Amino acid sequence: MFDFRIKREETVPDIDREAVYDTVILGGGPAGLAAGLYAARAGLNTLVVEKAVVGGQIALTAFIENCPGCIEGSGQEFIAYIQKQATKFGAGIAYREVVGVDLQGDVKTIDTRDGKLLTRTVIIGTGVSSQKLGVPGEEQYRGKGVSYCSTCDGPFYKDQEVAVVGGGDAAVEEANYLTRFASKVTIIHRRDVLRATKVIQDRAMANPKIEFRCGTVVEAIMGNHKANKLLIRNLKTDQKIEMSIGGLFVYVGMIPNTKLFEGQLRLSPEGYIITDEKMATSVPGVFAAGDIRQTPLRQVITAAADGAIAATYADRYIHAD
Amino acid sequence: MPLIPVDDQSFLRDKFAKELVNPVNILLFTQHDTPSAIPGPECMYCKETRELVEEISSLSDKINLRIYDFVADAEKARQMGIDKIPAITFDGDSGGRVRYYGIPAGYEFPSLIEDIIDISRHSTGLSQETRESLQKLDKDVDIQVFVTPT
Repeated sequence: MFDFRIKREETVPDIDREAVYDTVILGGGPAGLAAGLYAARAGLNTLVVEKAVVGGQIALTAFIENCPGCIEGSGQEFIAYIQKQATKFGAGIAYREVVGVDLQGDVKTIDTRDGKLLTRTVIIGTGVSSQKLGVPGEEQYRGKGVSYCSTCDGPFYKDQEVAVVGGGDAAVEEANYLTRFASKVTIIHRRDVLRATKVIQDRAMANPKIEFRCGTVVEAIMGNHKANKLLIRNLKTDQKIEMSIGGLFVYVGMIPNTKLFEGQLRLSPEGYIITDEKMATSVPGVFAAGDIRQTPLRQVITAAADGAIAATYADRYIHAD
Repeated sequence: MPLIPVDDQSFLRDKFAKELVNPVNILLFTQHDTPSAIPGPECMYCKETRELVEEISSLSDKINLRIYDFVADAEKARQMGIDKIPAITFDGDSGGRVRYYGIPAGYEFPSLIEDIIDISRHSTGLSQETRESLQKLDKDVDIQVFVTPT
């Protein structure tokens, strides 16, 4: 039940504050690490800056099975492997939080919590964060019965009844995963039908521990020191009922982590970075890759592909003259 | 079956061989193996935590493990500032004291390994700037970090 694996390579060099890096990559998910791999392999002086732990959203995924050529396994295993590839070619990985950026000019500045970094190109792979439900009790019980990561928190709910909100791939896949621990998992989805891919839906339908409440929304989360009840409303009948829960897992979509770049880069109305096919943003020398980008598909394979393209064109940008 | 996968054991053995400088003494405060001998509720994850630190300490000659019983060695626990179990702490001359409560699983496991290496090297990841500003503190500060990766 416990996991004792080493997921990150300890090849973190100290940041070279005097240097002007060829490329600084923001975010250590599949997009950022793939960009790191390509950039370092192309001989660029490369630094990946990651706020917390490498992996991004995929590290929070219990099981990946649709990544071509990847051996089926957890997101963490997958990420450990790309990281090994990137660092093998000399990409540095620094665990720092970026607090500001100045993307204009030939030399760009990245402000971290403990100092500035200078770089000729920037590849942004800061990804997305979980969308909140936005109901009373959510903030109060966050981490006290309300979670956004079944891989992180699922084991806390052994033999308890939990609910998952959402109807997409992530919600249904993670509901399946939670049945390893929970005695019962109820999927609460506002629409009548799930949006998840058929193969994932079929697996959930066949799982005796999973129940569905479609056409239903969560109106409030209640509890004492910990969340223990939901107020749910049936959208057809408007009937409200209380439902006891051990915990609630929220999978209702994502929001882009682009706050740092507002006013500096062209963003979509939803806040995603707009790029061309070379992953170039509206500012020369600045590229974006992965979930952060306005793109029709947000998957490991597309994020890594974006990272490869971004690094290739960062290299061309540097060597243009 | 070991808790630490065999591949990771060999990775850690190499890493410890390369990176450990001074000996590190891990002190584990735990519960007697037969919980019925001790009044009060059974310690959750004490057994697994003990197995884990035993495996870690077997991976390097520089890592020594001492196991204390939270009840029988109450005085030692008090000295080390341990008030709950399972607790991992380190005895050394690095000047500070890290106390790790609960089982360091998942993302916490690499952090524990880093702690062991930092203690052995008498180093931390703090920049000069940060050290200088911390030196300006004029009162004791008790830092407690509660970790969840979400």
